[in-house]
Amino acid sequence: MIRRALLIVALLGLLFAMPSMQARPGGVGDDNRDFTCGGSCHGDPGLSGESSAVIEISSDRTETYSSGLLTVSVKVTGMELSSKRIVGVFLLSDLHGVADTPEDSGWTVLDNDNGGESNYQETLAFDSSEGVTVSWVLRAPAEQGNHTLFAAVHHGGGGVARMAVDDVGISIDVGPIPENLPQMNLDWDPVTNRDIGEVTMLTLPVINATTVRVEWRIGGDGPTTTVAAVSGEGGWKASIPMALSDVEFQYRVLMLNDDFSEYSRWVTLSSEHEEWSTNIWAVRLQMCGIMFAVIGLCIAVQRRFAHSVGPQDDVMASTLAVVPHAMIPADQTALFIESSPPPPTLDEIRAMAAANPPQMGFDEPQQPTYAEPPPALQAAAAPAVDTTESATLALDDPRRPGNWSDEQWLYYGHEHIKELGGEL
Amino acid sequence: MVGASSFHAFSVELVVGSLSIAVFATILRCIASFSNPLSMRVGPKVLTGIDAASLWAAGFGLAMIPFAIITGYLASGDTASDPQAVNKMILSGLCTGLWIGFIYGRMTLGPGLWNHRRLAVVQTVIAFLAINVTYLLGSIGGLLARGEAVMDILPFFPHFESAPEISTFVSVVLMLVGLATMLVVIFLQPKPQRMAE
Repeated sequence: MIRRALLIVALLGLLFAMPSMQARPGGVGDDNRDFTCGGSCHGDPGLSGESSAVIEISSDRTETYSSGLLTVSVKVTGMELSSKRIVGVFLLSDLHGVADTPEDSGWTVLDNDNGGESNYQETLAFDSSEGVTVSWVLRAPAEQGNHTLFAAVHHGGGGVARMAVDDVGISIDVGPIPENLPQMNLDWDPVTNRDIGEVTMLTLPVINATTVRVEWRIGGDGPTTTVAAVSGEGGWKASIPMALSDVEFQYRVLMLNDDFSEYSRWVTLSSEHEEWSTNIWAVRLQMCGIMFAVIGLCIAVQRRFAHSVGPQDDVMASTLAVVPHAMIPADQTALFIESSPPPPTLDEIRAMAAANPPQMGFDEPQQPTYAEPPPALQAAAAPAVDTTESATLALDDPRRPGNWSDEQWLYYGHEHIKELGGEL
Repeated sequence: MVGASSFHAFSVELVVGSLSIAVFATILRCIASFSNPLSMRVGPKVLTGIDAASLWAAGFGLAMIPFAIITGYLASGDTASDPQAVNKMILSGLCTGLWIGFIYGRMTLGPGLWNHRRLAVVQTVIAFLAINVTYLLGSIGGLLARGEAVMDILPFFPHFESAPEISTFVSVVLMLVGLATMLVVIFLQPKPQRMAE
C-alpha cells in the first residue's frame, strides 16, 4: 500500500515537474528569417500570450538612391521578459509571412549590431522600460520607388512566448543615383582585421569626391578622430594608428564634393595577435619521435639497473627468508654459526610454511616472506653457489610437499623422506 | 548525436582515473619494497594485488590514451593554428612513451623487480613522471576548453602559449632518430632476465 502511494506521489511529482511551454527560451540565433510565425509558438493563440512591446522604427534618412546606404534602427520597450531576457528583432520588407526579408525586396543587409548580415538578430534586454535598440546597415535596392520596412519582435515572459509587430513601418524613397554623387565603388572590400602593433593603411576606391576623410574611434562610443585621406594610385589613402592590444576600432569614410556630403557605414576593425600556424603532420611526426625516444630511454634505464643488481645488492632478502640459511652451502655455515641462531628444525619449517602458504601472484608464484635476514646471511650470500649442483634430490620428486620451496626441499628433503620411511 | 568533445571528456576521465590508480599502487608497492615491517604486515597476497592493480590500471589507461587523443583532435577544430593544442599533441607522445616504458619494464622484468630497491625506484620515478605529464595534458585541455586549469594555482604552471615551429623534414629526422633509439635499445642492449618474485 505504501509502495503504491509512493509510486503515485512520484508520478505526480514527475508530472508537475514538466516545464511549461516556453517556445525556445534560449533563442534560435541570428539568421535570415521570414516572419513565418503564424503557426509557431510565438504566433499560435493557444500557446502564446499578448505582448506589451512598443516598437519604434527609424532610419538615418528617408530618401536614398539605388545602391545607397541606409541605417535603420528599431527600439523595443515595455516588453515582458523571460528569465533568459532574450529579445529577437526582425527587419522585414512586408508582413505576408513568406519571402518577406529585406533581401527579398532587393535590399542588402551589410551589417547588423551583432556583426552579421542577417535580418533577424537577438539581443539581451536587462530592463524592459529601457528596452533594446538594434540597427542594420542596408544597401538600397536597384529598383527605384517607395519602399516600406517593418519591424517585429519575439520575446518571452510569464512562461509563454510573445510576439509584437510594427505594421506601420517606415517609408523610404529610393531615387536614381545623382551623377556626381561621391560614393565607394561597389567592389570595396573594407579591412576588418589586422595584427596588433600594425599601422593599417586604407585604400579607398572613392569616386566623384574632391575631399575624403576617415573618421575612426575606439570601440563603438569613443571620441572620433578625423584623418584626411590623400589621393593616390588605386584610390584615396589614409592610415589608422596601430593597436597595442586586442581592442576594436571603428572607422567610416566621409566623401565630399561641392554638392554632396556622404558617409560610408561604420566598419569594425579588430586587432588580433598574428595568426600562428604550423604543419599538423610535422607535429604528428614530432609526437611519434618523442614517444619512441622516451620508450627507448625508459627501457635503457630499466635494463641498466636490472643488470647492475647482484646477489649482494639491495635485493630484499625476504624472498628467501622463509629458510634464511637455505642458500648457504654447508661448508660456509661456519662463517656465521657462532653469531646466528641455529637453523630451524623441520618441524619449525613446516610450521612456518603452514603459516605462510604460497600465493599465486600476478604472473609468477608468490613466495612467502619472512623477517629481515640475519647479518651473517648478508655476509655469506655473495659466495653462495648454485644449490642444484649439490642436490641429490630431484626437484620433481613426488614425495616433496607441495608448499616447500626448492631450497627447503634440497636441504631438508632428506630428513623428510627419512621420517616418511622412504629411501633416497 | 554525441559530439567528439563529450567522448573526449569521457575518455580523458577514464585515462586520468585509471592512471592515477596505477601510480598510487606503484608508490605503495615501492614503499613496501623499502619497508620489511610493512611487507610483513600486509602480506604477500596484498603486495601481489597492488602490483597487479598497478599493471592493469596502467594498461587500461594506456589503451584509452589513443581514444582520448583522437577524440581530442576531432573536438579541437583547427589544431594546427593553436599553440596550446600543438603542445598538447607533442606532450601526448611523451605521455604515451612514458606509460609504454613503465608497462614494458614491468612486463619484461617481472614482479621480482620490486625486490630490488633501485629498480623499484626507477619504476616509480617513471610512473611519477608519466602521471605528471598526464595531469599536465589535462590542464592544457582545461585551458583550451575553459581558459583556466586547476594547475593555475601552481606558481610555475606554464600556459604553453607558444609552440615549436619545426619543419616537416626535421620532424621526419626526429621521428627516425627516436625510432632508431628505441630499436637499438630493444634489440642491441643486453636483455635482463625476468625476475620472479
